[in-house]
Amino acid sequence: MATGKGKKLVYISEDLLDKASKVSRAEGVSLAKLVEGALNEAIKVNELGYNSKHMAEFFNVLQTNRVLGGLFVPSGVLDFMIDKVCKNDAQQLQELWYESGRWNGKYLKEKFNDPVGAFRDFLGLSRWDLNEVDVKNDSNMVKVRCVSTVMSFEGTRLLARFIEGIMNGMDYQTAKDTSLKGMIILEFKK
Amino acid sequence: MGNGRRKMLAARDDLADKASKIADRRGFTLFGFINDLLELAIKVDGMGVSLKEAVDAYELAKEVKDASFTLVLESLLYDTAGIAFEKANERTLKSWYDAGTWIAQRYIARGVKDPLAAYERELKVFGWNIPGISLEPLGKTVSVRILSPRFSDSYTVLFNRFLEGFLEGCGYSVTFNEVGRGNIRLEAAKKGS
Repeated sequence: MATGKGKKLVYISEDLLDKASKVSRAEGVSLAKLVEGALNEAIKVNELGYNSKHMAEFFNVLQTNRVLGGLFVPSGVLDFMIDKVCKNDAQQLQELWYESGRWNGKYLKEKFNDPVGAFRDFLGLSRWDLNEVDVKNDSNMVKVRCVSTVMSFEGTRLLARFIEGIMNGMDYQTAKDTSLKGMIILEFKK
Repeated sequence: MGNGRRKMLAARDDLADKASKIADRRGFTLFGFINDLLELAIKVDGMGVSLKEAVDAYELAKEVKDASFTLVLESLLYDTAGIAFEKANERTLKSWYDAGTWIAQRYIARGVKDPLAAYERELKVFGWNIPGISLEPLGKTVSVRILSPRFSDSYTVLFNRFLEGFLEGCGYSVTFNEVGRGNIRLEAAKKGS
């Protein structure tokens, strides 16, 4: 890193520089400003406790959610509506969540080269109430395991049906369901 | 990485120093760190946003996550809210009102000076289903306008109740309220004014 008056010279890959030049032109800023802006943002992301790779994944999921019509809702009201009010309409709700999952599965399949991987990111980064999300993709089998210490029985069943819908929408058939309250264990085969 | 050739570019030295420390801590060289960043800037540009917009959205997402919000699909939310509203109108309304109050109190407890502006900012970034959002303070009163053709009837009523709870939690009393499908108008005055 060479130093100048209030400035330091940093090395940048020539290939990236060409692409970055296009971005800077599109944004109407100089290349140096773009790099400085990127450094500023990197420092901010670091202060938030994450790294840039995680941020790119997160942002991709966020954008996908936006396209799919994902909304932020206070967890308390969602839990209330599912557990206390809709308990007697469990079947109807489960069908709604399943159909919604299937639609999303079809979308993920069309949009991503690795739809199962995208689904794992989607679940892990959007359902913050889950303590653990594990999606294993072994040849023609996909195993999904989600653990939550706060999820109710009704909430678990709805999420399980939603996941089943997503996987069915990606052309996987349900092979096994051994879910319990707060723990979803599902297996699917191609 | 490509042809492996490098070029030099000037960056503000305070930023370069901080970046250098972060790179060290993460086990990168400064070259690797900066290139990683530029790749990210190029990637999010391909998604139609600047790096700053992406980081701002990321920061806000972390805040709403910490505030116990869950990401749920719009159609599912409207359907679930519709069933809940039909089955237990009063109790469901109360849960939305309480959620609004809780959000307001959370802002206040965290020392946010202007909870109305903070909430409006979050809503504008994440209220993807709401094209028209305005929370306008006028002296000791506030005027709220929400317009969304996508809201269902029941969701409009529930969201209105959430806003009422939020305003009450911020120390306002609602003085005027008009609700129609996808259309909410609220006016409130600071308590004690």
